[in-house]
Amino acid sequence: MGKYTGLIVTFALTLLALLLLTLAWPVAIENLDWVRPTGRQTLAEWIDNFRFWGLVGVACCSVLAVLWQILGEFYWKVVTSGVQFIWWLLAIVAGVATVLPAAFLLAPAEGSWVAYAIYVFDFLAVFGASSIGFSPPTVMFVPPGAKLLRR
Amino acid sequence: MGYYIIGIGGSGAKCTEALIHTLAAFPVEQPVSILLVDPDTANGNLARTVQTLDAYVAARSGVLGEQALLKSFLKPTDPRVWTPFTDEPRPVFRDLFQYEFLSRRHPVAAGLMDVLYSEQEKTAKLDKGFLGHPSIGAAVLADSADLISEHPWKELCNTMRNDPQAKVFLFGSIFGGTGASGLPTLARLLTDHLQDRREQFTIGSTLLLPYFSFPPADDRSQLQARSEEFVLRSQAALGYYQDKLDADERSIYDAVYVLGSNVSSPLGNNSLGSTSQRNPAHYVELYAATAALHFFGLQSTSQPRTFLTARANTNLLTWDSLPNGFALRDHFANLARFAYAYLGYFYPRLREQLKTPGFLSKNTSWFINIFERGQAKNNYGEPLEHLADYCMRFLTWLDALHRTNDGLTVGYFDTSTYVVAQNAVTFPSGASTGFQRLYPIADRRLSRTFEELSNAMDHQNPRSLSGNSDFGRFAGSLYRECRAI
Repeated sequence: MGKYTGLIVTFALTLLALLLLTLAWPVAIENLDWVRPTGRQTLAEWIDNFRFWGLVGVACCSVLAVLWQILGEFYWKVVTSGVQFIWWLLAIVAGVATVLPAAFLLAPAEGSWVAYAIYVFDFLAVFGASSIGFSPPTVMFVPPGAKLLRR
Repeated sequence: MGYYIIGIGGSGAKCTEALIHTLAAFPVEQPVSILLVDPDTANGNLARTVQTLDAYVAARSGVLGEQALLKSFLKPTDPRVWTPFTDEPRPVFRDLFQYEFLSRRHPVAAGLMDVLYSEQEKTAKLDKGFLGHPSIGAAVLADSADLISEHPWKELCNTMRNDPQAKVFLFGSIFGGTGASGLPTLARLLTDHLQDRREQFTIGSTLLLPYFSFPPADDRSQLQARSEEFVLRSQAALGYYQDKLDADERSIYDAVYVLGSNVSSPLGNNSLGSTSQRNPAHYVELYAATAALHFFGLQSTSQPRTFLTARANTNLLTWDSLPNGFALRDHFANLARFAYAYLGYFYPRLREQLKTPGFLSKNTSWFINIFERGQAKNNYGEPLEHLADYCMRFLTWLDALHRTNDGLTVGYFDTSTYVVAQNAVTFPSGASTGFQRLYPIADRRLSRTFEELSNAMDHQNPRSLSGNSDFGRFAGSLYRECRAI
């Protein structure tokens, strides 16, 4: 694995999440009738709202994943228990930044579980996949599950 | 083809010790059989060399791989040491030659002994060696060495007999007792024994001239080696060897390396032998080891050639003072850096991990890749200790090499970066910076800290590591990262 592989993969996954969030998911939600906003809000308004908080979540996950990659590749030389703590801290912050809007800030709608699922997917794709599957060698086994995944 | 080393006496043992470390750093392709000869089997120098040899063999078996680490194949004879007094716990010269019997039955032979040996020499106890009297040693060795049926001579000679290109090299001094008597005597016995195969082997030797001195013992009347006689003895011995070389017939030796120092290192103590005779390593012994390497590399001795080496007339001894010094420097630097990093950082952590699983963070990549996912899981305790033992001996030897007290400064490595005390190597609090200073050359790769070294090992592809075991793969991986070349 190259020195910048983790960073490149993180950027690629971020791009994928952004493309899905701005193009694919809205079209799917609109055409497949997954979500019906309650109250006086239109579907278009709800989708704008969904897209905005989704972008905030992806941006947070991406920044934190890049931070993890940079620390792992250039700063940490050995793994200590503090490194593991940092991963959990970053993961919690990324998770909260992604899921919290769905729970409290997103406009109410029937079938809003779709939004929750998409936000969780964004978290898993951008922060989870990049750190579990593509962390730098020194910290490669720190994210839980990495030992099973990486050979 | 094989190499055969015979270390005779205390200085011979010390040169053999230097050669073991040199071969550990500088691999040779042929197997090297090693035999030590000393009547004083309890001699401290000899014991240290035997321990070093055993430590090397044990460490090597655990780390064998593609890397140059401990690559030379050293084969100690069985037994490691041959003594002329196997069956004589308290040997006395006159008893060995049945002087009483000769006096009664062959008075002429007894009279010859009286002419050649003083009463003090005849009655001296020889369990601590030949006490600086080669005339005693030559007679005893010539009488007792049985190359046909005695171990380990029998096996050694049989191997040499079946070796079409054997290279035999003897280490010893010409100013003491055992070496001075053994060098010509054993070489002559060997060449006579293998006379029908003389074209198959070449034989070389170091003639060590005085390079250390010690104060006289309190009891001057006792038969003992006296350092003030060393120069005179050496002069006489050199005359003998010169006569042999000038003779028309083929000399016993195909190559002779005369080595010495113009300044003698004072040892500070006078030891008659046994365990108390444990002298520190000296740079002349490293020169002797390089002489052996040079001899191994000689293509043919049909054209007599004279090789000369000398150091610059300064108080600083550096790599350019050694024959082939820069190649040696790089190899020694590799091994020294490896030993330092191993003992200073990796060994204590791996040992603690064995005692307390989880000590070495359970997420340390190189540990998981090499050991947890290895074939033997965490079963690395034995090779871990063996390698530590050898590395400790190597760093101790290297430290002693730099501690001269003859006015010269040895500038091979910065050995002030570690401390040798009571057969243990310890590292000051800044061991990581010590590691950077050990081999002071301006190279970014060499200025790594221990943590950066660990980090570099994390980055190695586990599939590219080679070795005969998990521990071998670890050692090979660490060696690769410690390499100076």
